[in-house]
Order: sequence, then C-alpha cells, then structure tokens
Amino acid sequence: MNEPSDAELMALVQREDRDAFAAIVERHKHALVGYLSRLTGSRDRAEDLAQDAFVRLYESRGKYREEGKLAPYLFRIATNLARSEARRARRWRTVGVLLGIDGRKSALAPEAQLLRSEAHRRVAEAVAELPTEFRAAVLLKDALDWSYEDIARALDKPEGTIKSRVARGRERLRRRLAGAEGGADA
Amino acid sequence: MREEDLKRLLAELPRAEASPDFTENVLRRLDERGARRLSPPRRWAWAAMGLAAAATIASLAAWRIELGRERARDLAQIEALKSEHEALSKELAGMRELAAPAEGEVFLGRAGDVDLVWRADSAKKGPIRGEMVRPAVFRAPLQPDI
Repeated sequence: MNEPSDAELMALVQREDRDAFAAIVERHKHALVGYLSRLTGSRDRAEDLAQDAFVRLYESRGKYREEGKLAPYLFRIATNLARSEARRARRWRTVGVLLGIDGRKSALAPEAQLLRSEAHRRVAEAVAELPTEFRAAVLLKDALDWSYEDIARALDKPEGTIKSRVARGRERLRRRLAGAEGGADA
Repeated sequence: MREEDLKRLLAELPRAEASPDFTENVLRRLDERGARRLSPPRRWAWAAMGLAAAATIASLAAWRIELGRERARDLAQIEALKSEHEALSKELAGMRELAAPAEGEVFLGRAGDVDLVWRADSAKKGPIRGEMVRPAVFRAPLQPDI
C-alpha cells in the first residue's frame, strides 16, 4: 500500500487529525533535527527547536497552502525559530558583556567537537561562525543538497539572493579555513 | 581549499537524528500549549495585572502632570504678586513725594479739592504790626452767607 503524500497528510491535519500530524512528524523529524543540529551546532537545541517547529506547523495549519512543498515550509518555520533564538542569545551576550560576565562559549557544542577528523572539526567551527542567513543557505545547499528553489522557499527570499548567499557563504568559509590553516602552520 | 573539498566536508558533517521519543514529545507540547491557551483564569490574571500596572503608571503620570501645572500656577501667582508689589511701591513713593512739603511752603489745610498752601516767597516784607501776627486760630470763624 502506498504511503500517503505530505499533501494528503496535511489535508487531514487541517481537519485536526492528530495521527496524520504524528505521521508528518515521523517523516520529517530526522531531516529537521539534522539540519538544525548543523545550523545551531548543538543537538539538544536542534531537538528542542525542531519540536517547537512542528508545534508551530500544527498551529498554523489553517494558513498552510498546498503547493507540494511541505519541507521548505517546515524548514522556514524552524530557521526563523533558530534565528530568533540566536538573536536572543546575542542580546544576552551583550548584557553579559555590559555586566562584565563573558558568556561566550566555544561555538561548537561538546558533541560536535567529537568530529571524525581535524578537517571536519575546522569546517564545523567555521560554519558556526557564519551569520545565520549565510549558514542556513550553505547548509541547505551543500549539506542537504536542496535546490535553490526550495532553499528560496525555506528562507523566504528570492532565488537570486539565495545563490548570492551560498556563494558568499562558501567564500567566507574558504577564507576562514585558509586563515586557520595558515595559523596552524605558523 | 578547493570548492569541491569544502562541499564534500560540508556534506560529511555528522547528521544528528531525532530522539526516539521525539514525536511523543511534540504531541505532549501541543497538548500543553492547548491547555495553556484554554485556561482563562490564567489569561484573566495576566490581563488584570497588566491593567493594574497600566492604571498605576497612568495615575502616576497624571499626578506628575498636575503637580507640574500647580507649580506653574504658583509661580505665575508669585510673579503677579511681585509686579503688583512693585507697582504699589512706586505709587507709594510718588504719593510720598507729593505729600512732602516743598522748601518754603506750609500746608494750611484743604478746602474741598483744593490744598491751601502758604508760600514764604509770596509774603510781602514790611513792618510787623501787632494785629497782623495774630495766629489764624484766633480769627473769628467765618459766618456763612445767609
């Protein structure tokens, strides 16, 4: 028997069918947590944000218009949540600096530091240093292999802007990694 | 680093998976949020606290504004009193000046609206005769015309 499509499940969710919603969660949870863990550098934060994103998806089910693109819609919600959280964290860091408390930690969570190789660790660190809008675009393109069209939907920006962000994000990463290599050699 | 290497490293970054109880947690969060949304006492309590805070702030602001107005009114009143005092002082000084007898003049009294003044420079020099130096008080009072 064929699995119901996202569109069919969302139609049921719009009629408040919780089983259909649970099926959507099951289908997309690993991809979303994977994306968010790379975006935030923390598995725990990724899990928390992903759960929140699914809750928001359910709450905004009335606004969802079926265009066969549930994943970009869900990832857009999740990216916006991650962005808001990053903004809040920045504000608290500023308050901490003003109060003389340095709240900065390593850009990578401990679990992310157990990476397979030195190269992967440096790439993960460089990705964590990118501004959220560049990080999201580069990760969706290069880590998840999404099309520019889907990324544009997920980040709610024109395709041209996404292409530019991916190119500039890669460039920043390359520069940072080149600098780190130079520093390591020195 | 070449772009291909960068892309490969990005694609190879470890991909975390959702926890086994992920879906249950999402559904539980959904229930909790729904329950929170449907608990009116809590909403009313927040609304009441908000209103009370807004009312307190508004009355404090109104009190401060009224205090400012009162102060401005008092200052204006003090200024008015000051200028009135100044004007009265000037008037009094003028009156004192008018009331002070000039050199060589003697105020004799008033007859209706007219001040009767004796001026020394208008007196004629001449021999003093007894009758002429009698004080005015000894003169016979004027008889009204009948």
